[in-house]
Parts: sequence; C-alpha cells; structure tokens
Amino acid sequence: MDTLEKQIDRWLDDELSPSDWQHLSARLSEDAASMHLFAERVGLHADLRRTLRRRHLQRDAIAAAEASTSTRENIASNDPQPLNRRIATRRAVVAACVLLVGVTLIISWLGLNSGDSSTQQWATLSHQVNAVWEVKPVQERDSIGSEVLRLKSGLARLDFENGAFVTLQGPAVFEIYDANRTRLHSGIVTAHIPKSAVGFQIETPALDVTDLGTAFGVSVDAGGQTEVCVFEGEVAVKLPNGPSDSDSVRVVEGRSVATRKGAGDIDRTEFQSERFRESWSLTSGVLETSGKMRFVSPGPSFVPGRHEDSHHILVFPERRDVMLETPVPIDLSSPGQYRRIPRRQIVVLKPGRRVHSYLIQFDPIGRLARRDPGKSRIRGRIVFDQPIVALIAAGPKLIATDPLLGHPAADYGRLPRGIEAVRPQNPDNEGRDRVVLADDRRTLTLDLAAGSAVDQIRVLVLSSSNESELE
Amino acid sequence: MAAYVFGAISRFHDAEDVTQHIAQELARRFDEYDSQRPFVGWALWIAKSRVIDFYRKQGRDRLVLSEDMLQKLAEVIVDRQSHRDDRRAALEQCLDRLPERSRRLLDLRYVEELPAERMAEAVGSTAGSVRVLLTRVRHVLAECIQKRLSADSV
Repeated sequence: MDTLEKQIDRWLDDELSPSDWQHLSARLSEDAASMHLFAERVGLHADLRRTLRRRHLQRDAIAAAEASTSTRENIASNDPQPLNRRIATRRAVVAACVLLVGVTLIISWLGLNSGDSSTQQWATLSHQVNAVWEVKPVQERDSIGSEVLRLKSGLARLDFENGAFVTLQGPAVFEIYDANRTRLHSGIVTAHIPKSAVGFQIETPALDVTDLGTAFGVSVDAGGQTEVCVFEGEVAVKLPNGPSDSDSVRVVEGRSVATRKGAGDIDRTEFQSERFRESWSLTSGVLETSGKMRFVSPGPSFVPGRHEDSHHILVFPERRDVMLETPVPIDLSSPGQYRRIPRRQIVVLKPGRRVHSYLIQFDPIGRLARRDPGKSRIRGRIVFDQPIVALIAAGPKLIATDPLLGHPAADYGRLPRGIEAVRPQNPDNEGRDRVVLADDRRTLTLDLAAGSAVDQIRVLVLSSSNESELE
Repeated sequence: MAAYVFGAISRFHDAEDVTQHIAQELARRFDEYDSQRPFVGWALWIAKSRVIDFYRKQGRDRLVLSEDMLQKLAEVIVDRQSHRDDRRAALEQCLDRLPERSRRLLDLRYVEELPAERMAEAVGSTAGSVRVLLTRVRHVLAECIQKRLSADSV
C-alpha cells in the first residue's frame, strides 16, 4: 500500500485534508496510472456499498423468515432438468428489453417534477388484506419511494406509477429501487405487468427476473430456494452477476424455473402455482372471497372449460382493461338482486368505459336433471377492488360477449349457461339462483343451485377508480 | 454510473441522491440518445453535468474534482465497464474469504456508515488503526478480484 492508495481511501471516506487533496489532485491530473488506480478503487467502493447493503438485507430477511411461525409450502422440484440456454435470439431480446426499459422509464417519469429524488415516489399501497408490518406500518394509499418493505403476514398490493401491479404475501421483504427495479429478499410476490411497464425487474438473491410483457410469481424461501412461475406471457431470468446479460433464459407461460443462491444453474421445475393463488387474487383485483367462493390458481390450465370444481364457486379472471367501444348487453347495473329481465326489454352498458371481466362459475362434475329435487345449493361472496359496472347472467348475452370479454383460451362448451334467476311474479323460486350486488357496488353475494345449466355470471369491473364513470 | 458518482462525491447519501437524479434525467432525455454511439459515454456525459451541479450547490468549502479530472475519470470507467459483472461476481467470492474482523469493519463502514472514530469505538481500537486496516482490506479485495479475473481469462 502506498500513499496514493491511502489518500484515495481518505477521499472516499470523506476524511482527506485540503493539503493531501492538493497532492492527490495533482497526481490524478498528471499521471494516467494514478487515475486508473483511482477508478479501480471507486468502482470497488461503489460495489462494496451495493453488495454489503444487499447482504445485510438478506440476512435480516432470512432471520425474519426463520423466526416466523408461518408454514411455507416447499417448492417442488420433482423432475429438475437443466435448461437449454442456447437461445439464438437472446442477445436481441435482452437488447430490446434494455431499450424497452428506457422507453418505459421515459413514459413513467414524464410529467413528474424533478424534485428531490430522495423523496421520489414510485408506487402506492393500494390494498392490503390482514397485513401486519414490521417496524413501520404502511397504510392504504401511502406513497412508496425507494425503500424496503417488511411484511410479517397478510397481503399488500403495490400499484406502480408505470402501471405494474405487484402483490406481496407475508412474510416477505421487498425492496423498491425505482419505478422499474425491485428486489425480493424473501417471501412471495405476484406481478401483472402491462405494456407500459414491460422491462420491470425483480431481483432476488439467486436470480434476476425481467418481465417481457406478462404475469408471473416469484418465491424466495428461508433457505434461499427461489422459484419463478410464469402465468401469462414470458419473462427473462438470469443468474445475478453472471458473465453477461446474454446468459438470460426465457420462460414462457405455464413453465417454472428454480435455483438457489450460488447454484450456478437454473433448473426447470414442475409448474405448481397454488402457492401464488392468494397473492394472485389480489393482483387480479379481488380483495376477498368467502363461503364457497374460490379464486382459481394462476396459469394457463386454470381457465373456464379446462378446470372444474364440484365444491366451490370458481372465479376466473378473463380479460383486463378492455375498452368498451360499442353497447354491451347486460342484465344488472344497479345494486340489488338480479331478476330475470323480460326478453323484449333490452338493457345495455353504454360504451366508453374500460373494464376488467371475470367469470364466476359453479359447474359440479356430473349433470343433474333440471327438476331434480336433490339439487345442492352453494353460497359465496366476493369483494372486488373497484366498482362493478354490470353483470351478465343470461346465456345468450354470455355467448354474445364471449369474443370481447371472455378468456381468450377458454372453452365455454355447448351446454346451457347462465343464472336461473328469481322471477318477480313467481312465488315458487325454490331451486333458483340468487345473486345480489351490494350497495357498495364492490360486493357480490351468490346463492346458487346446481342444475342442468352451468351456473355462470360475467362480472364487469371498472379498471380505474374513476367512479364518475358509473353514471 | 455509480462508480463515477461515488468517485466524485464522497458521502453515500449525497452520491446516491445524485445517482437517482441522473437516472431520472437519462429517462427523460432517452430520445436524445444516438444509438450509434456508446450508451455509457452518453450517460456519463449527463452524469458529469449533475455532479457539477451538486458541487455548485455545496459551495466552495468542499473538496471537488476538476472538470478535467471528471472527464478523465469518465474515460477510464468507460474502458473498464466491459468487465463490470465479472468484477462484481469476483467481489462476492473474495468477500466470503475475508476474516470475520475485516468483514465486520466493512459492515461498519458500508452498511452502518460510521466514520473512523465511531468504527474504532465499535471494535475497541483507534481511529488511525481502523483507517489503516480499512485500506488494507480494500487492497486485499482489489488484489483478490484482479487474481480471479486473470485466472478466468486464462
């Protein structure tokens, strides 16, 4: 170690005297080798700050996870196989991704003032369900900047300024660096990334995930085992600090990969998305289900026509953020009980709104005769994050709206569909389905009777919180 | 980028605030970037302006790098950036090989952000010894990283 090294270190530690500074400054100006040593040392200094802070957070996260009494589902890896990394276009993909990140950053930051970056906010905590926070409680509608969130239990959804939705499932430690870059130190997250936020990144201790237009879940358990499940679209994953970005691997929907810190390889694992179901439900806009209502697990197998359940009313997310450009035939748009509308009376939802669509279905395996007195009843309740603007419950209207609002991969079949509504003039309504939209417009209660028709109702929910659109 | 700003501005929080300002400006001005030219060079050109802005706000009593030195630092960093990921990977391994006492010292400096006097109190030593030891640890790490990079390139 020579004087130069010592002086550089004193400069980096903000302890250099003015006289030593003159000496150091002169050497850096006159001697290229000295400037090279300076650059090397500042690079190490910056990397040490980044690496040691990250390690510190990881230690905290693992300690918190180990201390938690919550049981965590183990990540299955029944048939691990090394992935083929020879993807011819991966360099182009990564380059495109970098470009998209840049473009996305521009979009997300346009219109923001250039105030103090230390107070820059990147997301809003939009909803939380039974959330318990460590140290600093976070409230709904709180703005979140570059900080570490420590969720002991429950669920919390972050709506990013760029349009990304990320839900944490506790115990979890999640760090936000900026609008597009985050880090999951431990726990479970699910994310829905719209086009405006393509390139969104979630780093973990074992691998880095870059979204390529998609929905996905990431889990990091207390032992460092890390898994990525892709529900829709695709993501790029790479080992952190790998030789280069070109070593990223694409993972498409219905696939999952796993690794652990320092493993050196990313393995394909069996797609098991059940552990993400609760978090995914909140990411998808459902705050709560109770009774026999159940939000389906994420993934391409869990769509209408491919997934049945005799014991639950299932909720399938169908489409997001659809702009209604023509009138849509509906059955109910105001709070109250759904009653059959006379055929000659036409009710439509006016165009001009953006909506998410969901299909709620009770389809027990095996068919019961229409007038079978042994029909079973099933009840459930669901609460959405935004107001319900309309219900579509009659078979012909469901069929008419399938192309615009139905799930693109669903098979709705040819069986009769819809809700057998209560008839106002008929005193004998036993065996009919009861559907009630509460005054808050967010809560829907169903009391369904199994019958020969597949009980189905399509729910249209505003995609933004602009309640003036309800008028 | 971080290396450049950390080299130009000593205090962690100041450097990190300026880095974030630069990231915002890069995003706002991304359409000005000519893709025929190196991105890092363009980014460091913008970074230099923000560092100089920071110097101006701090007043004349602070020690600062001259514009000429900032330019030279940027040029060296551009030359070195192709091995950035390799250096970070090597650093992870080299940190794991350090004695516990050295890692503790680094944590005190980089995580707890203590000055030498407070680090000395924490480890029961003197400020002078802590400064010498910290420089020695950085020197050992730099050598270890260099050895690993040389071994990998063989």
